[in-house]
Amino acid sequence: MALQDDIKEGVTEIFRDQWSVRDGTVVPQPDSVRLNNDAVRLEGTVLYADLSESTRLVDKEPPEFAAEIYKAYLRTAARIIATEGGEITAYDGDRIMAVFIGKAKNTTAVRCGLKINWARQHIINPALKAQYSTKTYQLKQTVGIDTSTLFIARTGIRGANDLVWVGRAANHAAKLSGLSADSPTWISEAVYDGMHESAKFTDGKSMWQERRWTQMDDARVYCSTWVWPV
Amino acid sequence: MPLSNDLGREVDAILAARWQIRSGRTVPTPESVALTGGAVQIDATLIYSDLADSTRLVSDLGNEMAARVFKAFLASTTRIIRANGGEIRSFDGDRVMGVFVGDSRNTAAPRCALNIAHAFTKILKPKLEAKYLALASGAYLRHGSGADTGQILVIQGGIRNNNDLVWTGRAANVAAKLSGIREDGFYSYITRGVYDAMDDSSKFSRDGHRPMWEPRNWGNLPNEVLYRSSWTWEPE
Repeated sequence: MALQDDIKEGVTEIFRDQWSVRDGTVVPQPDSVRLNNDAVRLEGTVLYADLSESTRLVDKEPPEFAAEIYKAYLRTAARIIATEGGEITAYDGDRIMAVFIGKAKNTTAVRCGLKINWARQHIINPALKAQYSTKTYQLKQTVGIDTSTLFIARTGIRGANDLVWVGRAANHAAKLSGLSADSPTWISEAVYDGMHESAKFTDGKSMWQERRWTQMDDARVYCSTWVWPV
Repeated sequence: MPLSNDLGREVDAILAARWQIRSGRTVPTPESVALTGGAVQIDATLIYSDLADSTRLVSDLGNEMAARVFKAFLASTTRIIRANGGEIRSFDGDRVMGVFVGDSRNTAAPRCALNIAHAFTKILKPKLEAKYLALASGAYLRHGSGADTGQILVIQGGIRNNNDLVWTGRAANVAAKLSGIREDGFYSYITRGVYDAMDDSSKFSRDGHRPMWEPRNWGNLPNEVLYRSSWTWEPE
């Protein structure tokens, strides 16, 4: 019964202990948040970049090819995110999560989304065509972005060492990254309203279309097919 | 445009490099998968356990209460996966992925799913609903676990060194999808591949050998049979 008792004890502690919350100014690393009910509160913009139709990819293509696609996409997205000042907080299969903070967090995250779309069109797909001339596969992806207060805590077990990011932006960004890859960048109303004009317009022309998000009580969201050269 | 040149070079290298695939017998770690062209091929059974409705939990209950729920869920599932001999290789907010290797992987992973169902429905949910009035309606706390087995190619996907292994293979996608199925009273879903390779000890109950799993068609993949279970199994 040792395991059962451990679980009970662990769960009871989690509910009993008071959080000691501090406001953060940097994106926390696992070692900067203690294991107990220590937590960091942060205003952050969360970006999820998600490779579309990955189940079809692993079903239809040899594993080595699928692995190259995953790697090319995740590495490219990770590099662009890092260059824009975002912190990569999780890799999970075919997607990557990053957090942006600071005054320009919405603008940089959105620019990042448009840059990833540029890299897909101008780097990854052409390189794919060059290497595998007989394949028809084209990489598609969706980036989802939302911003809110985030509450960051350690998950629990030593070794697995990961942080749990709680807050609307974490959930909604993940869900937005599951929307149609026909317009590869999807952002929430809060991100749109908070971002700089330079990320909204090019030569006076809007880069964004307003949509209603039916699965989320018709929330106002924006999507874009535009690219931003890297 | 140095970044764009870097990106181009890197993508070209990824597409051109031959994988140096080695067959693994243990669950790979980031250190054990070489950074360039490195890949480990492994026969594994993956389990995903997923907390349902986490978006609604956050919006209705607030960050602090939701954080407790997430943390309790992740802590319990992690502990159970490890107790069954699995290793944790991915955390993503409201879900956790465990990897089982070795001969008994298809017996351990389903048992693990039933253990998680016990911990969730008999420990976590009652405790939470007793503590928080907002949860007492019983409308919130649900989970699902899914397991599939197959050959997985594990690669280093990102640019940082920790926790960026990418698990490519059908089983990873399928297990994740199965953990998202929500049917009243059923918390555990496994593929036929797992079921067929599973020992009787995880197929039948210990009190009179009642079957713990029942076949079910899967809409997503019409040719496939899944097995689902409403059983819970107290972790030992």
